Amino acid sequence: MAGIFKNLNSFFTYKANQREEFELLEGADEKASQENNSATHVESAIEERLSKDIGVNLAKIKQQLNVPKNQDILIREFKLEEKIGAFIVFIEEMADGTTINDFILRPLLMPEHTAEYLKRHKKGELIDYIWNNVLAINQAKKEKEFRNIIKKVLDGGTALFIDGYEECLLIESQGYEKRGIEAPKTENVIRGPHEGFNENLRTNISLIRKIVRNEDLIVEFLPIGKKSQISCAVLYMEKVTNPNIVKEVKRRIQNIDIDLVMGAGVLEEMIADQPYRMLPQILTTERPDRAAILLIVGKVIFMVEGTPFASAVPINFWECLRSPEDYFLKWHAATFLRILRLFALLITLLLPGLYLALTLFHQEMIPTDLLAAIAFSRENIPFPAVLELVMMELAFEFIREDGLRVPGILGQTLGIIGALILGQAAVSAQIVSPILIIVVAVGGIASFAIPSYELSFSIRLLRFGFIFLAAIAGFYGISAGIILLGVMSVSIKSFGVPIFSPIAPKTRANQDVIASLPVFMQKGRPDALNPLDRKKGGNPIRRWMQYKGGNKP
Amino acid sequence: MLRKWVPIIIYILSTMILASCYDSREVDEYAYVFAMGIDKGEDKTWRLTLQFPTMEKSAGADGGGGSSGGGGGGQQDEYEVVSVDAPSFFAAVQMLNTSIPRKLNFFHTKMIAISEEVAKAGEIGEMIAPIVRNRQIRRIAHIVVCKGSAEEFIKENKPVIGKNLSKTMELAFNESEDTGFFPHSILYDFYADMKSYGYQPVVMLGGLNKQVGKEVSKDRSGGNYTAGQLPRKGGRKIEFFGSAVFDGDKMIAELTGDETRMMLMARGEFERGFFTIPDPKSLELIIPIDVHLAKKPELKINIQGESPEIDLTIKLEGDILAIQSRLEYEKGKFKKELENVFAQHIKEELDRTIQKCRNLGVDVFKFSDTAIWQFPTIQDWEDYAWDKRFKNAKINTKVEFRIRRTGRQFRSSPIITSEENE
Repeated sequence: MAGIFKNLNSFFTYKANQREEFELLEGADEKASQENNSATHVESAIEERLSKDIGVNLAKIKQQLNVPKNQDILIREFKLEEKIGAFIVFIEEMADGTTINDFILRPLLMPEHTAEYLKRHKKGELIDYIWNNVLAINQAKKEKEFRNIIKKVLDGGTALFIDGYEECLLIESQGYEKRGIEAPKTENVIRGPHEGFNENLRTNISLIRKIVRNEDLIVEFLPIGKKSQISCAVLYMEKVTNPNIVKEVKRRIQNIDIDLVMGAGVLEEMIADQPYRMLPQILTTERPDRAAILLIVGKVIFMVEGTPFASAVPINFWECLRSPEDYFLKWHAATFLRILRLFALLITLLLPGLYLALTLFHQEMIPTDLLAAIAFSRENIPFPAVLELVMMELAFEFIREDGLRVPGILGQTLGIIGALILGQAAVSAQIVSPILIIVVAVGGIASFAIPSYELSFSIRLLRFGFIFLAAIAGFYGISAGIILLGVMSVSIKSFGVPIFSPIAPKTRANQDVIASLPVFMQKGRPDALNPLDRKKGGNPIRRWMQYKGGNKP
Repeated sequence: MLRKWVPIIIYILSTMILASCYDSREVDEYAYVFAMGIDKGEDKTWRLTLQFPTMEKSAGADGGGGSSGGGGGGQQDEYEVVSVDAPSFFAAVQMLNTSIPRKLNFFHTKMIAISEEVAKAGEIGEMIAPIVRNRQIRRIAHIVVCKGSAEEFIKENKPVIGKNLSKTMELAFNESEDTGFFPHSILYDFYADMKSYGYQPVVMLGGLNKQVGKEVSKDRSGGNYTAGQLPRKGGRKIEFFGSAVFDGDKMIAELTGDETRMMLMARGEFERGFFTIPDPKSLELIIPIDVHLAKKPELKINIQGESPEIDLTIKLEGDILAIQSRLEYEKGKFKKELENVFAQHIKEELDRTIQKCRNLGVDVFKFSDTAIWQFPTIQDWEDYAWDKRFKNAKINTKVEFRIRRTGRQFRSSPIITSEENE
């Protein structure tokens, strides 16, 4: 009994949060985050170094890579100058065969290349000589540890072992299949570039580098996953991005103890501040141009090998309402679209609930004619409005889900069936009222106007909560729901930045929250990010306005 | 885990139990009363008449299909009228609920018609008490005093254009703003005015037209009637014209359409209306003018003497709608003359109306609203007994009129016939 009271008491009394949380404070002590930087790496079992004996090395490599079992790992043994034992290791699918044949093996197997050296020196620095004089490859490095060698081989590199040396040469020879650069699938724009990320991390980085041609753009690679070390790139602008954010992002990514991180979606969930809350705390984009804009503004971007998306942190809620189209439109249009999307969000969230609340509890608020129309149309419906609404909402979700699942050509058929069943049959069979179909349809259409896929999903889920609240308590329920949702949402932080940040808490906005000011008036970076460089444009940006008729530059 | 979830579950449960869905009703579980009539019934009872839609025809969905037979002017039997004699309002509702399969609901009541008989007996106060207390009846419901029985009046409450009764009623009441022939009286104002120490309520007068179309008009203004008397044929039988003057909850007089306009002008609530005056130059012809208030009327009230002295200035503006005599009233001397004649005309009318109401001892012009500012406390105001002193009030009126626009013509020229040419 006492336990219950204690519980109740703890529910109503305020208790300070015990959990230490990352906060982005003005002039925060940097030492605190430096401690975190020396994070423990995921320790691998392979720690040994190479031996001088090539036989030992070969055995070790075979053991580590499970060679006879693993049939696509190729080990090619050969002899340099007919006497020095050597072998190369690579993975058939990951490495490029032409590179290995023409530019690694061929020069190595031609005795005249190394004959000169071997005449002069006995053995000495043969590896350096090969690198300097023999191989026609642009990138390679020496490596002593098995762990790194295996990582590189798994990544498509080729390892060259030579007898008598405690190190081997890791040669770049990646050549696996990859998709070409295509137009983005989910973020289409009319104006603006039609380039989207693909699954190749290097390509993606090159796409960003192509836009941000600046030496301050730092790309750091972090391996994630214990069993499969997928690489994750962290991109940020040195001298712009707040270093605390960078440190925090790296700290979180490095301290993930799991076998496989499959793509950015998993990673996002692992490093989000409050994964239990529904609102998105990380912004993903498929477009290099948008990623570049986010970088320039002072955000950190991370990309995972194999995911055609870049994820940006820290973000705020309003950025989820922004579509890449906005950057290419005039500010009037952009502002209109923003407001439209916000409205669509509210409609998706509240319209079914409001309909229920109005028809069940607050009939006096409906204009008489509309009420008559609703009552007329409900006259022969055998179900209560709640059931009717939930039924139709589910039907809508089915159609949406199926449209994703069925192949393209069938998709249209599905749409027709769905429209027929929902639109006509259900009404003429008097299972649902036509007005309700309008409510569901408008809510459904509106949900697709929300540009962020994650946000649109959470809003659609929350909608069911509001339907429930409206059904049990009308407007009271809806207002309680809004308050609850609001309280829970404003406390969400995305890497230390509250997600409603330029508005709640109020910070100096960058004139691009809901109403977008003309581009030439957006001089500052978002205050909430505490960037090192607060200005992204001069004062004024349009310098030419100051000079009359060609007097000065 | 438990520690966190138990309170949350308690919270959700208590929300559901304390504020749950016990009063949720589907829209089709109600019968929405659109109009309500109050008569005297047999044997000291009230006769309550209610009108509600029967929801017989499905709206919209099967446009013009099946039984509705398409086209306008079809049968108007989508509304049901029921009456009951009952000792009180709520008793009546309960009695009717037993025979009507749906719960009667007053959220959308647009009109409360009170029969002249009840109004003159001074019993509205008793009837209105439960109505103003009931949270279902909105105070923006219109209140009407109808001549004859309210039951008959409600029965004739039918749409004449389209089939939508609620729209018909709303638009019919809105005609008040366009003509000024009847006031826009709603339950809120009526109730507040009844309790006022100063002014008295005025309620629109409704009636059933006899549809004879012959009755000779008493003068040329077109407004010297009360409801039910208009010489017309066709259309709805129901008409709203003129107003009922109350003293407290007792109806004591009627104002004709013209008088109602004057009353509204003095109150500053007159929106617009067409006035017709005899042509000052050739008296058998007329000049219609579209008149609206230029400003709120200016009121100066002197309460020093035994009875109040009121100076009322009404500033009007108008557009000429026609000049039958085709004299040049648009400008110059003639325009001035027309303005003066019209102002004089209004002033006479206004004086007559004020005289009438003052003799009745009711301040329907809301003069007391201005006078009350001169009293430091409510007690002083109540002691002053405005309603008693108003009977002897000295009221000076002044009307200013200005012609603004002249319609599509800005000059008149005579019509030339061959006879005159010779």
